[in-house]
Amino acid sequence: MHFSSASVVVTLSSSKLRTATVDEFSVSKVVEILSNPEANLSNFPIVKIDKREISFDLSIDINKSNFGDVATQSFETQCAEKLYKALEPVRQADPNLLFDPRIWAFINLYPMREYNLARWCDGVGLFGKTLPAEMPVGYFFTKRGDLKGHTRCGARRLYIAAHACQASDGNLNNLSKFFSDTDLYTQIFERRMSLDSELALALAIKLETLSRAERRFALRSVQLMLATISLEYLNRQRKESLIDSALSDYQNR
Amino acid sequence: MRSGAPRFAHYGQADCEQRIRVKVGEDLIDISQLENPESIWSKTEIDLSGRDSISGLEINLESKIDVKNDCKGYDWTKFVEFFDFIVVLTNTSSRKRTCHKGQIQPTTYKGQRRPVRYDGRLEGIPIDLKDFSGEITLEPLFVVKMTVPTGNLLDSVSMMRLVPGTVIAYSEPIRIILNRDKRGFMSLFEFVWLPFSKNASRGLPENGVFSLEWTESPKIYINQDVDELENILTSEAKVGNSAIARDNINLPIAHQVLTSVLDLIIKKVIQQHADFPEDSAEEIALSLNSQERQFLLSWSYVLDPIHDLNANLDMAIDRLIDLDDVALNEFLTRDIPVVLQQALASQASIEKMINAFFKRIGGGDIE
Repeated sequence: MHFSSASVVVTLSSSKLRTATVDEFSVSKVVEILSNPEANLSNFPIVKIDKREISFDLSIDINKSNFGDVATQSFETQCAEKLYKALEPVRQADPNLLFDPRIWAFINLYPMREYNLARWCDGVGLFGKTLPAEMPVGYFFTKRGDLKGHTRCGARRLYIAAHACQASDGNLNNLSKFFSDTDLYTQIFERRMSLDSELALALAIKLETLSRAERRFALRSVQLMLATISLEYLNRQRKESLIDSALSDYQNR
Repeated sequence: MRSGAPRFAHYGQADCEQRIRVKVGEDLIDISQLENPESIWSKTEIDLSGRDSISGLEINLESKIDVKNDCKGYDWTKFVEFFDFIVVLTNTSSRKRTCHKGQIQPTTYKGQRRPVRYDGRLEGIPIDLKDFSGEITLEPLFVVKMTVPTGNLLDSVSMMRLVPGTVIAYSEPIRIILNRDKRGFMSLFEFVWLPFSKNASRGLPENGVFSLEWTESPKIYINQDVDELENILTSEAKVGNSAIARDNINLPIAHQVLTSVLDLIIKKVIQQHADFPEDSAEEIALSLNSQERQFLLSWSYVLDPIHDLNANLDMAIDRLIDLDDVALNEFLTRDIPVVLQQALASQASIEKMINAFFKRIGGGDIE
């Protein structure tokens, strides 16, 4: 484990999976952890499944040359893919670990620390910039039963998209569709219908290139249809036809 | 979970009967046979908070649609041909949304051909609790069948053609609460704002700031007589003076509440051990009431003399009852206050307040 004092490249490759002692830390504690990760590892005991530790290898390189690209579709896709693949040993050990907010607190504050600071905190704490005493820390944590809390958590947000692709298609080929813009991602994953991976992916594919107004109309229409139809009962083809029908309503309105 | 009646659900709300068995160790036990079952189980809610010995559930559901329900819109005699009975399982925490298909059985009176009732049955839905977190919802629904003859079904009330999956009848959803709350002990409490000066009969201290009532529905009374206290404590500010003031007022309240509750629980555990020395840690844990168990979901490591973060409640109790009087005293007077200060990040919070104070009087940051 290595933390560079210059805070340019800080990675936690080949590390052991740890878990935070609580779902969320206070703002001052987060600042303390981000300022001095090594000294605060005592707040993150190592996870053991059947008495065995879980190793995983995750490193997202944030440097001055790619800092400006962190919000782009290609960078987000790349990060989501890396994160999803890196967490394979965790899924193998116990897939349920990945809905525990305390595990995500660790992933966000340690291996994904630089990504989160760059993507969601304007790069504070990176490249010699100091961490302010008060900063927004919501992106370092997720919630248990709240969809907004899932999708506004820096690393889990990436993971959710990758998991939807894998569960639906068996591969990550369509992953980039989710990151074409932040509004599309949010509009899909902050709705309960996104718990169905097939529908979430079908929406991303069909709505990716549309205007914001068209997308929002289609999403509202699908949502409305689902007030009378049980989504879970439908096969993939039927789910796609719901979206087509919503899009055709937009054309004919 | 749907809210309200779906538009084409002309067959209305179906009465639903449930039979639930819980898995304890290797055994499946009917939920009604558990200790204090009414605290767990009602027609639409199963609360397993703090019941750590339960590892799974087996759910059997039966939803009934009676001909007396003014059934209109669809051909009653072709119910089995047109509709399916399903139970939708949703769990937001684990991001699961699945469908379990059951069977529909017509009931016909002797000598009559027209069924008087249709029963949708689904037996043995297995729920392994380790695969879920938070709250699971089960929604029993009758929907238009995927194999409906012409690909859709005419609703003679709305004259709309319904696609497969359309809900034509529903039962009230069943909520299974695994952990009512694990986020923080403060959410266990109901906060009640009262002017203490006018409520002396409740035993509230006239010059106090807050008062704790540790009952089955725990409450924290907060004194409205204290100027601006309500505004500050209910402030949602994330930064600034209000946020700093709120955090620093919350701190002694949280400290005292935690200390009082832990003290109560420790005394109860020690007393139970003294009265029944043969009782195992598990049996002692079972003697705690539901609010105590909920509290310990997040705080059992504080109760544990070695503060092992991975210790479960039974392990913590085992170590606690092993302490002699001297060690117990030291644990209560020295160990617990230190652990609580760390858990509540007291030092950082107080430093922040002092910094803000010096900034306000123009003294700059304290190094």
